[in-house]
Amino acid sequence: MRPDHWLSRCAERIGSSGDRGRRFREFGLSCAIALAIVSSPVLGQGTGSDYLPASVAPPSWGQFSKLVKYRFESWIAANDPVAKRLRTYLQNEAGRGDGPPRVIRVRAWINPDGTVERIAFPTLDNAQADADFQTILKRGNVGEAPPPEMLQPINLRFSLNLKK
Amino acid sequence: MDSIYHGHGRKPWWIASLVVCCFCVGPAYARHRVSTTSPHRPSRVLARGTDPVTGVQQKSGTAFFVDDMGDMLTARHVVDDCRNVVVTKEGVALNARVVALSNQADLALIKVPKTLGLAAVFPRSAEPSTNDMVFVAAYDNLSNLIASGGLLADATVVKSDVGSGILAIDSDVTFGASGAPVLDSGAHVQGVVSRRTPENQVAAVSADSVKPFLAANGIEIEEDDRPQISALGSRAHRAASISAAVTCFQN
Repeated sequence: MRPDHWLSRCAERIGSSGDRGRRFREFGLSCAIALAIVSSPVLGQGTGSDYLPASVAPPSWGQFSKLVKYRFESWIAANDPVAKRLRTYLQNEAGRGDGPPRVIRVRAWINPDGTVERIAFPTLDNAQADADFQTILKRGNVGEAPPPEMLQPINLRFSLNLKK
Repeated sequence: MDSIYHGHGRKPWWIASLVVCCFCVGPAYARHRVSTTSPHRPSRVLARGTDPVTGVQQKSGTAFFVDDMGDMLTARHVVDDCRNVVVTKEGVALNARVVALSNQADLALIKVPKTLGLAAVFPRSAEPSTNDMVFVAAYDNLSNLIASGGLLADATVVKSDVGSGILAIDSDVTFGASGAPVLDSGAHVQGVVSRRTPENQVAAVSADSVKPFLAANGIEIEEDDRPQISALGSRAHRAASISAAVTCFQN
C-alpha cells in the first residue's frame, strides 16, 4: 500500500477529530534511532522534507522514541512462538539476495493511550514473516502517551542482522 | 497491610512510627528510631524481615536505569548486606550485581544483564526550588497510579540546600520507595529517595551528589535541562518507564 494513500485514508477517518487528525497529516519525525536487534546500531536519518530530524526535535520526542525503540526490541526478543518464528526466519534469511534486507525502516503510529495503532515497513519477502512482524510490533502498550504535539509516524531503523 | 504504610499526619502514634520506620534498616535509621519511636516495634517488621513461612529475610526498594547497559541506581541501604539482589519489572526478574556502594551518600550502583526500561535523564544545571512540585513513588505503587490515569506530581520540595547533597521533600511515600527517583516537572531525576527524617520529611540524595558517584564508577549519564516530557505528560508513567523493583535477599 502506498504511504500517501494510507495517510489520506487515515486522515479522512479521523479528520474530524481536531488535533489528532492534524497529527496524522503532519508527518513525520525521523528520530534517527537504530532499533538494533543485535549489537551494532544503525543510525537512520530521514531525508525527505516532511521529516524532522532528531537533532532538532524536542527532547520529549526523543525520549518517547527511545521508549518505543526499547519496547519494540523487547517484544521482538520475547520468548513466545511468534517472536521465535520471526527471529528464526531472520537468522536464516536476512541478508540473502532473495531474503529480507539487513536494515529496514519501520514507521510507527502510536495512539494517545500508548497502544500501537499502525506499523508500516517494507516487506520481509515472506508473508508469514510480514504478518509476524506486524503482530509483534502491535501487540503491546509502550507505556506512555506520545507527546501531544509530536509528529507521527516515528521512524525507526531496524538492524535485522540477528546472530545465529 | 499496604494501608498501614500510606499516609501520615493525624494518625495514631503507632502508625506514625510505622511510617517513620519504613525506609531504612541501616544504622542511621536505627539511631533515629530509638529517639523518636517506640522501642517495642522494631523496624525489621516493616522491612519485611524474616518470612515466617520460608525463613527468607529480605528488604525491598526501587531502582532506576541510568543508562542503556543495565546499570541502575538505588539507595545503599536497600542492597547492602545481601546474598542475592533481584530486579523485577513487568513480569521479568533478573539477578543484579552490586557494582558499588557509596561511602558518602545513601547510594548504590547495581547492574542487570540487560536494560528493562528507559534510561533516566539528569539535569545539567537546573536545581529544584522550594515549593517545586515533584513526583516520587515506590515502583510497586506506580501501577495503581497509572491505572487511575497517571499523575503529574505528588510531592513538594521543602528544602533544596545546594551543597548539602540532600533534597527534603514533603511526600507520603513509605516502604518500598527507597531508591526511587525524584522527578521534577521536566522528568529529570533531581534526587534519589533515602529515608524519612525526624521532621517527617523525605530525604533524597540530590542529583549533584548522584552525578559524581556515577562518574566515579564509569557511568555516562544523559544530562539535559530541557523538558524530557510534555507539559501534561504523566510523570508516574515516566517513573514506571525508568524504574523497577529491587529485592535484597539476605539469607
